[in-house]
Amino acid sequence: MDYISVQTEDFDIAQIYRKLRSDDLNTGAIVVFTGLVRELNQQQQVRYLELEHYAGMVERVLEKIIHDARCKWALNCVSVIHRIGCLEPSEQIVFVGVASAHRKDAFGAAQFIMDMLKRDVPIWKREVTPQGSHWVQPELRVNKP
Amino acid sequence: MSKIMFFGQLREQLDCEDIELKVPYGMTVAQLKKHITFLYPSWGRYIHSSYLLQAVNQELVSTEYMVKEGDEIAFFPPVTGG
Repeated sequence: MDYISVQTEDFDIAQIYRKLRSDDLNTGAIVVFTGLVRELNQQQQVRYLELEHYAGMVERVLEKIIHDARCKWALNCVSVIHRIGCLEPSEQIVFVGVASAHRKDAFGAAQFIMDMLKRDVPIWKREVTPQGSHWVQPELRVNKP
Repeated sequence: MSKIMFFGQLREQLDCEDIELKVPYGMTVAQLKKHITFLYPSWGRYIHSSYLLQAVNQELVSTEYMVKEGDEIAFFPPVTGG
């Protein structure tokens, strides 16, 4: 069973890994990705990040991304966790874990889910530096429907 | 009434999280933006920014999408999560 969570509290990778592993005896590969807060971003020291989100839509978009991943790869359990609120350097921001029978599906789906998450999930970062704070600007891309 | 929500930098620029409006029948998102600017003239320069995205009932839509009474509408800048 998939597990999606948007939360302020930290997450325990070992605990989620156990869930991914025990969900289906046919699982032969698990790929996990964790995103962390960097202390230096574009040559600026980051004191902490503030993450704002659109409650409800975040979960809906994540469900759709996982659904789309299932259309492309053969997957067992999928877990996506995104933290919100204030996060300091080296803290965990995001987790994607994918279980499947074979590694190619797990690698492909994990990369896809993370790429789509960064493109479509309504979350916004604000960086607080010693000089003040600013909204993180998106990478250049076209993502209008 | 329809709830219209603002997020991220746009929320800060407007100094407003959400408003409630009666959405006239048959209005597109683009027309709704003009209607909002008519009601809140100082918001025009932000709400008409071409880089803004919009969602209706929590799904991304184009500015030609037709909104209806009771829809949950949101405007926001491109996302930067992950």
